Amino acid sequence: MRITNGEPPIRGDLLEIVDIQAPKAHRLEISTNRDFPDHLGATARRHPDITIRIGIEGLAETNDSVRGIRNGFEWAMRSSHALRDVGVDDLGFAVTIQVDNAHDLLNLYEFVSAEGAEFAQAVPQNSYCHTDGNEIHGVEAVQVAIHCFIGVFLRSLRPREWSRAYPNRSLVDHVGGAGGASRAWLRRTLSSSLGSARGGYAELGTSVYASRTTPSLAKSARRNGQRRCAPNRSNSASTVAVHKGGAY
Amino acid sequence: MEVNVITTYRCNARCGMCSIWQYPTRRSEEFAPALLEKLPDGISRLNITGGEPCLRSDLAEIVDILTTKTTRLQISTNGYFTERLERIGRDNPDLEIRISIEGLAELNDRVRGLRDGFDHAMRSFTALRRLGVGNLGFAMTLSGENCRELLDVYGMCVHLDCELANAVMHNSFYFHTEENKWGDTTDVEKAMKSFICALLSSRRPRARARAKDWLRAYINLGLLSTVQGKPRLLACRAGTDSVFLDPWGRVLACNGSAQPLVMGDLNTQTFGAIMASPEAEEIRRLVRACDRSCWMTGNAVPAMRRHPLPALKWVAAAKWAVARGREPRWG
Repeated sequence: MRITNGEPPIRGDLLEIVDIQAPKAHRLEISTNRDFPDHLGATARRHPDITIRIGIEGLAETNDSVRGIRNGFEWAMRSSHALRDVGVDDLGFAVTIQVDNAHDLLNLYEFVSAEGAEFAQAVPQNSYCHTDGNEIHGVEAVQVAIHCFIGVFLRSLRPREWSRAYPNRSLVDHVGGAGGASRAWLRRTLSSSLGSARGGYAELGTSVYASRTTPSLAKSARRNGQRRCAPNRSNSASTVAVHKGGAY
Repeated sequence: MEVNVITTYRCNARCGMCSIWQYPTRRSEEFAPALLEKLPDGISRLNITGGEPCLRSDLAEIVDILTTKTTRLQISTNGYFTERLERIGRDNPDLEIRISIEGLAELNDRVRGLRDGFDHAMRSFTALRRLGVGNLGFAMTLSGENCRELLDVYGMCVHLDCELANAVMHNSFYFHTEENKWGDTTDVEKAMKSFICALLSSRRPRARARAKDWLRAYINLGLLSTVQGKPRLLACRAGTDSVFLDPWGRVLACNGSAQPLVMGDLNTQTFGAIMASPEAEEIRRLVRACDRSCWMTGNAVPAMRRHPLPALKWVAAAKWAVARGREPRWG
């Protein structure tokens, strides 16, 4: 069972909700963005066996730029450490892959892994974010980022990571649409980039920066005076509209 | 014997508590790596520092020479130049690397004057860990400005399972400043005492890491004394148990003095001749009479190795006190 956003801890009765729902699910997950207010802390202390996923979009600069939250990365880290300290073991970070953060994702993944936390990915979606205007820019870069993840997961020594590779493969197809990279291009890129972890990074960085031909989501959000879930309407050839949810 | 090699006074950071960056050395006057061949073998610990050592294009050559001189080679860096560190780490996975940060992202970048400095530090950390560099850690210089984030940084290091070396801001010729002032130390002392208690009740998973935390608590007791203006916990043996090599090839007793305490010049003398020279003996006399009471890793750890008993006794008593919910004896 997943308790999700807006931002669940903003509800003053989160503890009450979890008290009721915890006996009904083997695994109860709370998705949160950054803060560690008393509500979440009290909930975690009473139910340390819950799953918590903290939304994050990259290392500090990328995260704060994409999310439009000052010091959001720091607070995510503080929250993670505080939750660990009260005994929450199933703790992780969730990232929405887009061109604004594709260059930072493997660094973020390794940072999160070094902290011993889980890492979940999704791509931007429309629907309950109260928008149908979200578009994925730099589709090729996003696809390469996801493919790099697939390579990293398959090389992992943790079997749990292997199973992450498959849903990421579906994300590649989902993101691709009509404006995506051709299979042949991806094969060429990946054959040179996934041979080694370092190669993957180098190729990823090149691809991402080369494809930054559209205004970034964050810049667009700032221009529109919006803070989150900002739609970005560009007609670039490497932009594809997202018509259905692509998260897993 | 521990040797600290100051490779350069060039630095890309713009730290508020250190003015090295305002007085950079010229590339042409910095020692050539071959000079380091004159250092003796069997050095117990060698630290490559700066300025920012990654700004030296011949850093790999320096590392290659120094790895033959010691079993513990450490690089102190701000972690900004990830690719250069990767090249070094790939060839030398036994290196110890300490990345300087002054807090979490916003505070670090403000104090160090480095845009995205925290992110660069994290990228270097993850890249080096991926390459299998086993002994990684962060280093933090405590001041009134960043003391509030000391426990946050420590928490991060615990969860990343890496070291945290810390110091307090100093004045000296090396930092090119005598302007650092503590003022009201209430907040700093409070943060340091909390940190010492956290170290004493370390919850790191590995026993060796916990033991290192306990001893680090004693180092921090020494730092607390420095902040409070009290005398050093242990006599300083700079010039005897530890020396510095500056970018011009001069051998100095320490980096905490008001003026450089020059023992000799490696360009024209052998290391043995310098250490046995009358000039070195005169410097050691000055060190014995020194009243600066500084306490830095470079001169505190050798003193603790020389006299381990006071540290061990204090740690045992302090752990007993903390386990019973009391404060340790603060000296």
